[in-house]
Amino acid sequence: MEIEFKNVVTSKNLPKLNFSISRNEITVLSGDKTKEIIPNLLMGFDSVMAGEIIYLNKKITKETFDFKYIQFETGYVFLNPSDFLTNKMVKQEILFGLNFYNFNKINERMNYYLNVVGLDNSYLNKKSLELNLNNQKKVMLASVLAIEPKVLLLNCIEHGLNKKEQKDLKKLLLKIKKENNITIIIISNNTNFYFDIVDRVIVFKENKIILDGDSSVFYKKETDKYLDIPPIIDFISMSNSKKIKLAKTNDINELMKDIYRKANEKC
Amino acid sequence: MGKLYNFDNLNLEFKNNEITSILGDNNNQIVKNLKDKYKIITVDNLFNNKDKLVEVMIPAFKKNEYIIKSLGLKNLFSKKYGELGIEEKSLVMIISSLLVAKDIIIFNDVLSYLDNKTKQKIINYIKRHKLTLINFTSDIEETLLSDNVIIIKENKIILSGRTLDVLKNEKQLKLLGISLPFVVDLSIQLGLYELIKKIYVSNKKLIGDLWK
Repeated sequence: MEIEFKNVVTSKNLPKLNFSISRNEITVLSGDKTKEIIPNLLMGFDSVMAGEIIYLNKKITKETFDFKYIQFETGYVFLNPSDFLTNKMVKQEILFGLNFYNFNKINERMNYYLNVVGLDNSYLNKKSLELNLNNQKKVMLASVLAIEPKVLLLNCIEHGLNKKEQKDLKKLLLKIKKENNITIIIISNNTNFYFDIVDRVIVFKENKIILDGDSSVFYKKETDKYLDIPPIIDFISMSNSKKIKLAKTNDINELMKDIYRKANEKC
Repeated sequence: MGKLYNFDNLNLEFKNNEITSILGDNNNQIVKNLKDKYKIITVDNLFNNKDKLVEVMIPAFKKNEYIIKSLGLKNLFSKKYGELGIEEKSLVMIISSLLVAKDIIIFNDVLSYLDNKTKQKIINYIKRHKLTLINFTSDIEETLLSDNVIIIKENKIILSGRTLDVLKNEKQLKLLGISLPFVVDLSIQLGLYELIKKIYVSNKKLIGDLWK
């Protein structure tokens, strides 16, 4: 396991948190406030009241928290770019972590990761907070990827992006997962964003896990009590409840072909 | 009937008592101009720290049985402020604005924090109270909740009109980098195969007609 919460107390009134996250998977934390407390505990913004978190090779407890190790191994992308970016030049934003952790070949790394997120070198001399939201998010990602973390922690990263920008981001996350052998944790309730890239989704309510499953969970009947069902899955499930037998797919073009076949069979 | 708003060579008309979605490449600046010049009540993105305001508003809501019942908020108010997640804070901000808004209100990418059922409740409330909502959004699916859509690029209106009339411009929207809502996209494609004859805005109705 990459991360394990063992009897973690976050509030006197709530049950203890117990769950784990596997290595090199995309895990979505969804549900209520609990999903926001988890990254705060991992990054040391909130303290563990009791219990322990096994984070990579370190223990986080009430008494122990190795800031430097955890922040080095975690690429945390904030919800709000202005909490992360300092409105310096993009170049300075990306170089900050590289200098802080004494990386070598920092210019090569900076250029490489800027290109990985889809920005060219002309962005290096632009002010980060003057960029549009999509590019601000790319700069945040390049900054954290440059220090080659083991865990990528993304807080509502899709918010404010349009469908095409979200699609490009998903392609990038799948590529990073494959090539960098990285564990990706997404904090989000936006199922229509993450449903087609997620390995596991965990839904929390007041520290309890109320739903835990892989991407097939969206086809289960009771899931709509806890999560929005993405429109394409809603369409397939509703059609299949009429005994149409459409194949499960996340691709509208594949769905179209299947509908055409089934419609002709009906005729 | 609508009211005209103009600034920076941009003329925007919002129909009274209707919901208009705006998809633009510079929504934040347009929202700022509307807010500053016309003093329209605005629920902005939650990046700014509004925690204090949220804290103040909760006791006020608790006394408002009508709001609690019509929006089904009982669970929300049994929680302490610090226990609210971002979706709940967003909801509190939205309700605060609905309580004080007299006729027109602006949402700037805040509905997307809410689940579909809660979004629909908010929309129903707005329609029932004949408010005029301008919903700036990045989520194309939200256009299906609105009566009108305006697409703005580089401070120019590229498309404007009733929601389906705008969404029918599939090719132009794709050139602008804007995808269609799933059910509209599927309807258009099924129409090309002559399996259906109109554009649908809900899966349920499309399925009802398609698999008769």
